[in-house]
Amino acid sequence: MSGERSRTIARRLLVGAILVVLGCARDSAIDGERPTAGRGAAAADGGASGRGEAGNAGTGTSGSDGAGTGEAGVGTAGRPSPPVFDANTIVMSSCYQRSAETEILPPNILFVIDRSGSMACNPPPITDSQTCETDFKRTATDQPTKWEITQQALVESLKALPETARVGVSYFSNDDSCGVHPSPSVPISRISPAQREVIEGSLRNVQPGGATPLVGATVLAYRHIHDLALAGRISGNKFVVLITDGKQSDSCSDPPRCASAEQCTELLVNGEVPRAAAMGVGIRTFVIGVPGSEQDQRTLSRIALAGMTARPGCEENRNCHFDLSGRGDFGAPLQEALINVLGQTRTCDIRTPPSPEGGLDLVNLLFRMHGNERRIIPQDTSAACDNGAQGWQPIDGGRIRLCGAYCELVKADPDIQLEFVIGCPVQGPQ
Amino acid sequence: MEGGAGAAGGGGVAEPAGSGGSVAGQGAGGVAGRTDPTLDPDAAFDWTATLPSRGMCAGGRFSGTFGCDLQNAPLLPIPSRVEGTIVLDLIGPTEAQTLDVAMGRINVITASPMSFDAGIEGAVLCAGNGFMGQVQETNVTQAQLGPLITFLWNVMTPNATLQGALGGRLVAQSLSLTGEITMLIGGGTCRGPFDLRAQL
Repeated sequence: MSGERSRTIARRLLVGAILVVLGCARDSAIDGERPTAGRGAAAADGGASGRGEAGNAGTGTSGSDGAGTGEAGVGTAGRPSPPVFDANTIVMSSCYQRSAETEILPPNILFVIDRSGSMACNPPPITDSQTCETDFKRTATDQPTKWEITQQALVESLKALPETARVGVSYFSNDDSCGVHPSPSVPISRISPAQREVIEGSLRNVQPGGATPLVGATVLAYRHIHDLALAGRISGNKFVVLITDGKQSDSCSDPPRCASAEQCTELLVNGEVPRAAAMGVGIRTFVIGVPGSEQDQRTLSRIALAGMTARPGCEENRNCHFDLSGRGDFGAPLQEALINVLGQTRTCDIRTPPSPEGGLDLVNLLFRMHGNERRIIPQDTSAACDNGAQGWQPIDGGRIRLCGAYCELVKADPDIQLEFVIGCPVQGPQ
Repeated sequence: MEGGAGAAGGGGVAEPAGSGGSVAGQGAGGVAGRTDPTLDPDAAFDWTATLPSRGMCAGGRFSGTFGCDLQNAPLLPIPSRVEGTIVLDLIGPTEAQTLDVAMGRINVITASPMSFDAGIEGAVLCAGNGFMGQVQETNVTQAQLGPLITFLWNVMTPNATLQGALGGRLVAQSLSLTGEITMLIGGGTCRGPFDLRAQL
């Protein structure tokens, strides 16, 4: 209970700190939002986006209709204008057409977990990986196996996920041989307390056994997630998190698609993973290699790279994945890696409203905290999202992304309400 | 954000419906619930899935509806429509050869209207993915009926019970469990299809 209270206090402090930053920004926005002569952005009747260029004088009057009077927008080409309206002005103005509540797109995560026989070994130094490959047994009965360590780390790390996240679990193999299937053992579902229990129960019930059909399991995980998305049964960002201690088994090939472990692995790395990560599918693949995976570092690293989850500054053939292969006691590092992965799945993307007239030039995004007044989240395309932008930016796939402190704010406080307002010129950054 | 306005705009069954629409009645569900138009329907990921009896069993919660016509009921000279819902929690280790019904409930609603609840037992045999189950015999007590219907029912069918059997098949590819249910309700017989879907 005290832990929960501490987390709540910490969250409030974080939100407060972010608000201080945004509050400063807002003050300057308020200065700028009073449309006075010589200060207006592109007026509504100009149909401009708020990035107005010189000469596009607004004809409206200041006041409740919100149309700015005066000369050009203050921006220069390529530089967004500052916001000129506050949130309340926008919703009361004549340009206002409609609004729609929205929310951060939830992550959909399918864990694809290796339960091959070698996971029954104790990790090094009790059982070295080479011995484990030939003799799948637990040498020290009073010490946890690789499987037990993985189970525990997964259960603990899932506590870091917001309840909007959807999580499922697949194991490979599903038959103590090479069996794989698109349907997960734990179907993807919102990570409610009940779903956590289902996952924990599933992990407890499964025992290591069989070969390593890594490629088939990954390919069919993509199929399952993509099918769900096409059917409209999930929305949001999609991730596969692959956890393995070994490499594809030769016996688990799928001729004529691929007739050896090497062929199948190349098919995965060069074909399936990039295709899954590409637009039109949009599934990113995280890879965690636990002890035993040292023999396949290169492949796992390349999967992470192709899966758009490469670690910063990594070497393509070595460590673009989470490489825990050299760690004997890998429980804590695995949990750390999982929390890192799950943190990365929490993006700040929002689906754009359907068919806004005038495109995004006539869309504004507002937020409201705990019943307080609405505030504008400005559009900010003046810098890359991860390089100083403070606002929202359109991205591929019919989405927009919150950047900077706004992203941190909505991550820190899940109760924040987001709302699109359609019809008025988009407001630029403070 | 869970639940909320149920009208997920054009979307699927599992969308996080928003907390209600705003001015234009277009809630978050309407935005997030639609199928992403940028998805490529032609993108295919092919691999040979494991054959039945070797991993085709996928547990989880399955829920859906059934419907049948009640024949030969003492109070009803003509067939009467009976409908309702079924929820089954199928569990079992990944390698198991059976998935057991850990929790099963059926809610039967007749046209009268009367409503009964009963438990369901059963299992999916992974060899062939066949499902066999039975509706636990349940006394249709007075508490479950309106006073007038109860009186007539008790007169015509003393010690009335509800019982039945289900037979079907789990289809892992479509995440569905479909088949036929046969029930005896207070002396009447009712047989019809059921259609359950895995819940996400």
